[in-house]
Amino acid sequence: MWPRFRQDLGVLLWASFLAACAATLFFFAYFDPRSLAADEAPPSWLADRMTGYGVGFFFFWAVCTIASFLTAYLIDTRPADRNEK
Amino acid sequence: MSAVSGSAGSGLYEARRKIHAREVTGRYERLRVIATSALLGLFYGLPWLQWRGHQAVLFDLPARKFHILGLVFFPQDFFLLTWLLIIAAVALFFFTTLGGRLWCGYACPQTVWTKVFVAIERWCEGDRQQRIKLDRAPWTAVKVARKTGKQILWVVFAAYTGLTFVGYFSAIRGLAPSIATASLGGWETFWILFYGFATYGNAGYMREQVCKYMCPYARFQSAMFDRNTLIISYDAARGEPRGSRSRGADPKKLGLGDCIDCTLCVQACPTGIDIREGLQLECIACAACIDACDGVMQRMRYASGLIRYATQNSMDGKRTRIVRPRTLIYGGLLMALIVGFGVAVAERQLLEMDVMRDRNSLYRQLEDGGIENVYTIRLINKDTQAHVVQLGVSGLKDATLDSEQREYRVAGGEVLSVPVRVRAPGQAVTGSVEVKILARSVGDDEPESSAVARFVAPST
Repeated sequence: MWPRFRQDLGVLLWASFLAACAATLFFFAYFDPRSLAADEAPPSWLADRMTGYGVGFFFFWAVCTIASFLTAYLIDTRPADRNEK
Repeated sequence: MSAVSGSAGSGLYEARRKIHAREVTGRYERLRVIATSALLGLFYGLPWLQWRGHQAVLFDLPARKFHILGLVFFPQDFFLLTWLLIIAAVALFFFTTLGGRLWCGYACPQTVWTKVFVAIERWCEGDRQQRIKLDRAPWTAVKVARKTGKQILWVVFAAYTGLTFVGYFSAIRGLAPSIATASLGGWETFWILFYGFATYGNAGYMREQVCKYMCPYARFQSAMFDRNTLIISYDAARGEPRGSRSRGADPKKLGLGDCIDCTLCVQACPTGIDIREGLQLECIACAACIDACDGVMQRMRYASGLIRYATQNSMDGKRTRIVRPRTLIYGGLLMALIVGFGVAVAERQLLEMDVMRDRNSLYRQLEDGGIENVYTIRLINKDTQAHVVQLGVSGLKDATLDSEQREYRVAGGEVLSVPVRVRAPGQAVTGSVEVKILARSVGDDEPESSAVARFVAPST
């Protein structure tokens, strides 16, 4: 149902990886994990900067992967346009 | 300029056959060895370089400050990094317009590390023919030994690359001993393995597949090309009709061009294309085919350069223009950005200040009727030397600033958090107003800084 799924998954993970790198760079340039964790809500183990960066990066990667996956899926399964041909 | 896909009809993802590129020697290979050695030396050596007692180049993420030689950069200087990335992008455009994919062929980390991994492979498994034979051969003890040896060297090299990479972010002189004593931090271990694995996979297995399928630059670089851009060109007019002939035979009598159809250019190509079909998207301009062909031309006693760096215009017998609107625009933009960057770094404010309001209370009413607001001031000294800083407040009549010490010493490259109270007489202020917090270093011509903060009082 999804031809070349494995290769597309590779491209999709890679594109999300690049986007996640950029997101991590920009986000943590402005937000310090330590002060983010000063609020009540985040668990205390997030207060460590290295943990904050690492978890942040993988969070961005996961979110970007979801977006890439949905994009690829919706384009792939788009119904054919009747006016085309 | 049209760039067609070389693997016509085979689709984007044909089942991958391993490309065993033939090893070549020649002037472009020598150039690449020089470029590769210099870049690798820089990458592996730089973290070990010390500068006045600390690592010369250290992007200290845990401490949120970047050391580059004597300069210290803080997250507040982030725009400089963005600026630097823009300079890098424009420089890439500029050099692509002039010389095509010079970046890909000589400087890209993918190329550089692939070179090393291929060299290790060649050292363990032999040259192209021997490698192809070895891959087809049954698993004998010799094959196991050769393959195992290669894997061990690859893994060690990749792990060391990971260590070096992490060494840019966490002092490498601290990392190395903690590996020896097995006391390396969890995240450091993870990122060393992560980067090491990425190196191993990309340079050991993916190689030029990365350029073909993963690299965004490869997809849009041809947009920077025009008829005056240096590309790897096969001189079809001179080479065709191609055909084999015995050495010393006169090609003109045989009705042949200079191409003897030995296919060495194809065997040397790391992306597996035939340059004689014209410029192709896969071509990373490594010039291996030029070296291979020049060697053959020399043996045939033909003039070299049947495949050569040339522009479309020169191939068509026209003049090549280096100075043209495209290069002027990219070049001018690049110069302006570099000069601007230099000025921005030189004119950087050396003392910076952040003011954060106390989150727990808006204000406090004092016994004498005054109003008090509490702030935390972060003093950031980007200078290499220490400064003694006095704090003050302005913009609100009769307001005073009260801190535990009269002045604070902030060491070079350090951040100091100071809690302060700003007090104002009760009748002087209602509601929320802006005040200016001042930080002045003691002494003449010393850096100072100010920041606007919100002062809150009862609204009636």
